[in-house]
Amino acid sequence: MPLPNDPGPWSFYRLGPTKEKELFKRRRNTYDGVIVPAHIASYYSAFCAEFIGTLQKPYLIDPMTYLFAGDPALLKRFVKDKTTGRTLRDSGGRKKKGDLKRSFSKLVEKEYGGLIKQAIDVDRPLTPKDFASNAAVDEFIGRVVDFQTNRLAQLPEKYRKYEKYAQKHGASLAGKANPPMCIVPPYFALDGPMWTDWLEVNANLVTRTKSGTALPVFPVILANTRTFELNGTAIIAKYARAKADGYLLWIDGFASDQDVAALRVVYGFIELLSKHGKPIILLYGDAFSLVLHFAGLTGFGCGICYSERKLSTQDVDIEGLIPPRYYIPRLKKKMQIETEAKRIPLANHPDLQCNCEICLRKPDPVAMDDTESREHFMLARRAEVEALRGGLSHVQFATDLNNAYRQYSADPLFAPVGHLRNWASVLTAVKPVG
Amino acid sequence: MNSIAQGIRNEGWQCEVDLYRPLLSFFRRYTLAFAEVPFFGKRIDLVFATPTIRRLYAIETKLRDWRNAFKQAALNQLVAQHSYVALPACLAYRLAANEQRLFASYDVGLIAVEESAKILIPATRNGYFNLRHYHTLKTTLGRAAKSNKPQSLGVLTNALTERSRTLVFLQTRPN
Repeated sequence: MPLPNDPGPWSFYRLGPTKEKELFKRRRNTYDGVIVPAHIASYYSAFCAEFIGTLQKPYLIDPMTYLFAGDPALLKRFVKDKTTGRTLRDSGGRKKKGDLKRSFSKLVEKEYGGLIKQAIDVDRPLTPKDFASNAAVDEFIGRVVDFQTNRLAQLPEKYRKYEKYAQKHGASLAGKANPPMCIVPPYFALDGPMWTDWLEVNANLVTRTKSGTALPVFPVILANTRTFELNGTAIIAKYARAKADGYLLWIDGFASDQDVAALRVVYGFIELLSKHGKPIILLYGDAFSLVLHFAGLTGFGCGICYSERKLSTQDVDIEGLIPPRYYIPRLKKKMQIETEAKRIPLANHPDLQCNCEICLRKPDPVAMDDTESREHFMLARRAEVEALRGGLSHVQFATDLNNAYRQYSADPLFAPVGHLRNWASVLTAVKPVG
Repeated sequence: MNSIAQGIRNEGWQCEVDLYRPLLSFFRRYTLAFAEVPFFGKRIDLVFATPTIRRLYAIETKLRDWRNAFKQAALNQLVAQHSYVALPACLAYRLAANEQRLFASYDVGLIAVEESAKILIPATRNGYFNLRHYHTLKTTLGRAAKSNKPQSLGVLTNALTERSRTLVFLQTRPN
């Protein structure tokens, strides 16, 4: 599928737990595309191919290669006690790590191989020196591009039996490829003392990927706010020379409840990058992405009501379930249903009531289950996006944020709401693009 | 704000665990004391309980950011009949004077801690007590009290220093 046709901001959801599949399908009109992490596309390839094939929405595959340049322990799973199922701990109380997580093991063995497999086999992280040989780099890129181009582009074999039914209706399952909206070159974080070496590697990977595919190439620029603040111009210049067709941006560990200075760095970077006239999609973004739309952000991704921020050094093996949370559109924050929603009766605050289909059916968030709260999130987020598409000005947006802040800042139960004031401050202080 | 910060320094508080000893002493008649009690992804700083764990007192401690502690204390009312915020005395007395209405409207109690602890605003019960949450917590605490020996405050301090946040069954009376 090509890039979304609708005007920005595009909203993308990241494919996560399989029980989200129905939500993705039922609320197909509330988002513009899907992001599939490479290890999930590889490990659950039949499921993902069927899912993407039937969804018929723009999608991209995140190659997740940054993990191979980090601590190898991040890719390993926690060791469980076979009888109790509990995670084992060492004498210091730290959780014990075992083998490489199966999904990544399959990704390395079956898909990436080459220089990544060589590093994994000796339990060491990749370094920029591993990319010295152009032959090895081209082989690696070839595998990554091939994986992204083909893995989810065709329905699995088992669906071929439905060909005759499709043909009866004048359609065909065979031969109708559904390639991703863009190819994402392998990427590595631009943080730490070797960030300039990694910048060279990343730029080289973009250039070489471009020569190996006809699809648009969207590199991921991954760095923390400090790096963007100090070296943003140099980073942009480097990627511009690589002639990318668009950008995926990951601000490492960035949270929109940070101080105004950090928010302005991010706003400023996007404003500068947008001057190149290419689409910019934030890989992990919360409602602050709506503010960043005024800086030139084209789209943003997240999980359905989770994963709106991410640290690149986070363990891939995450334990425990995410507790169901309810998104309050006016406060641009979530409350945990089992605790906050039970203690803070939203019925006493008519201005915080949502008019989505789910909330009209169940006005009290306490009555919602996990799926319903996520469905509400999708509908509420779509309404926010539609407001921007409908011409909500940055002035009006800032006024709405400030009003909500003034109304709720004195009530500790709604705290923290300082982000509303900070976002409004960013909106009013920076001249919007266009 | 500077005078409060100065007051906290003068009173000798460096971290929240410093407030625990006067609190343990104050609540010693409740026999059972637990620290770092898990509650839906958060940790209640201290929970005091009667021997049958029928009545629970939840305490949130903070040196400065009292609003955060206040919110957590209000949420703790879902599992504990009485919920308090415990703060250094210099800050607590100021809040007792300026924010009494807020504490009263949410039924959250306020404790001033210096060499000893003192209740400035008593916590009251309200309709948010959730029996299901309470029974879950009661089971957790009961299991911890049964299977562990009460630990000294030093054990908790060491655990927190090493960033290990697990439930600790505490001695209410120091050795």
